[in-house]
Amino acid sequence: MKPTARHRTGASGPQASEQFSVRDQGVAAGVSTSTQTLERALGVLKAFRGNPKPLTHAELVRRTGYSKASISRVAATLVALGYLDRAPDGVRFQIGVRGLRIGHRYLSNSLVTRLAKPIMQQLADRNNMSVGLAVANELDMIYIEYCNSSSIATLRLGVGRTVPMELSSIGWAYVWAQPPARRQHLLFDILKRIGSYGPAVVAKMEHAFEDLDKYGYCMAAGEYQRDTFAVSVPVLLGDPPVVMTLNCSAVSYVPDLGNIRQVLAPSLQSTAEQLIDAMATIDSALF
Amino acid sequence: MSMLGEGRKAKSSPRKTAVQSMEVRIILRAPRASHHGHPASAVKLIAPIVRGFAVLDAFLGQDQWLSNQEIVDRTTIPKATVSRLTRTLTDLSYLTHSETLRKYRLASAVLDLGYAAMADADVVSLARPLMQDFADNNGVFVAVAGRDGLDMILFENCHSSSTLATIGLGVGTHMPIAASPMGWALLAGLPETERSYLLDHMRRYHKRDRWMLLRQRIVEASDQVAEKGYCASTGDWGADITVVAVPLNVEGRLPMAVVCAGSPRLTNRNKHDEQLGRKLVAMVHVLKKLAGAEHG
Repeated sequence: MKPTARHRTGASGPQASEQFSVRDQGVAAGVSTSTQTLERALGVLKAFRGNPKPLTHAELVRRTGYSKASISRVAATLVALGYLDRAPDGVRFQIGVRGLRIGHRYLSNSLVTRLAKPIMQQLADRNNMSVGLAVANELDMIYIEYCNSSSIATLRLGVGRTVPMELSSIGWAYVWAQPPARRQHLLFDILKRIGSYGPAVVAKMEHAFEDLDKYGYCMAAGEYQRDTFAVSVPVLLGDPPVVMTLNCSAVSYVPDLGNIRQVLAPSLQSTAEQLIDAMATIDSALF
Repeated sequence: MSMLGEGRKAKSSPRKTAVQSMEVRIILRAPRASHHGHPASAVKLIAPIVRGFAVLDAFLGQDQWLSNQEIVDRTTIPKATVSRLTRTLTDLSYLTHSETLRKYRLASAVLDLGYAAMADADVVSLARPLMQDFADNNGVFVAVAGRDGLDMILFENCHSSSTLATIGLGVGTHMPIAASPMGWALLAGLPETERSYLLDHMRRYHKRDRWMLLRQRIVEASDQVAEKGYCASTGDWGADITVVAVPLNVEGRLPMAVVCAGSPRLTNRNKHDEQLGRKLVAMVHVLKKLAGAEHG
């Protein structure tokens, strides 16, 4: 395996890289190569970010950092397995139907989504907003439950969608809730990923951290999607506790600060407490 | 730059807004060789990837929890390889391990394998046989599409087996909501606030005169849908082509629209449109029932 490739694998997350180096030392070289090959295939699917739009070969190279030859071979295998499809133009690739089944299976078995949904739906209906619950997935947040108020039909971010940790309040609240060492680690990896935008992004995150220190929640307006507004709180769910983030968001209007502080945030926080209570005794392996 | 779900696109390239309306021609369908021109035998599969996904696929069976040995039995992959794969997949959050059960289960990262992209595909797969029947019986092109930002994206299409003619649209094709009959049908099926929100944002991508025109079409289509359940137009997809579209709203799914297009040369146009519209509304009704039963 080329050192550059390993470096990139390491960049995918502190947890992964730590475990990776341990594995690397302990196991024969051939074994770690096949592990990396699988990680690469998973990375190619991840590069689509839950979007049905076809991507070109070059775009996949750009997004994953893998070589052209490597993308060709990995993509051909994924096409054969049904996880990728050739786009109708015969050149680009798009997500295949296979991943749907496995995601569906996870969700239908997942206790957390079943327990959380009614509680979240109440908040969505009461405030006429969307309410999401997300877990970390390397440097992204992935929504495992998403409830819309009944007056919004178009799901803009639904279950399974990912957002970059550094670009959304849902990610900021997650990073904030980490122990100091892990938080530093995440910030470091985020900086590495975003390069020259780093300082501006970190400044925003630090501002959010101040809010979280002071109020227990943070907010964002128009970060990831223009015209959106979101408030997020970290929640520790299950036993042993797992850090997730709960947020509520609205499209097309930004309520005034007084309304957020006095109405919205308290009602989000009380929903968070309900979630925590509902899951306090649930084995988090069942999530 | 459009504003809906565009955050990630903002980084790469600005959305193409040049396409004001779809240039669609009736073209002769080229005989499809193999599916994508690559004979299957030429593809060399990468074994570690095949095995890794075989482990994940093992969880599609009856059992929610599987031990390494059970995975071995289901996949016929050697035990040492299975334990390495389950460890890797657990490290990456695709699987979770229960100490008490000493077994594995699917975990949140599997949603990353395409769930979001395909979440509406189950409706689409229910639609496929109905659409094909409809296409064959009526000699038309049928498609189902959803919204992607300010565009419609085609999820699935069916051609009539009785005519060689086809519309030059394929799965994944994008076209502006404001300038396509299926976009009008979709808008007609949305709650009022959401429709006006979308219209508000579409406006800036069209020249004033053209927007007035489109706005008019959207209102007309909406009235038609309210009255008859479908909207029909002629000439938007080619001089001779009649397009009929019906909104498809299924609980908990993205709003979609079903559209059919054909060239009624031999019949009275108005009568033809009306019949086609009624039949399409009936088909969507059946589809909604099927999808509702599936997810109810």
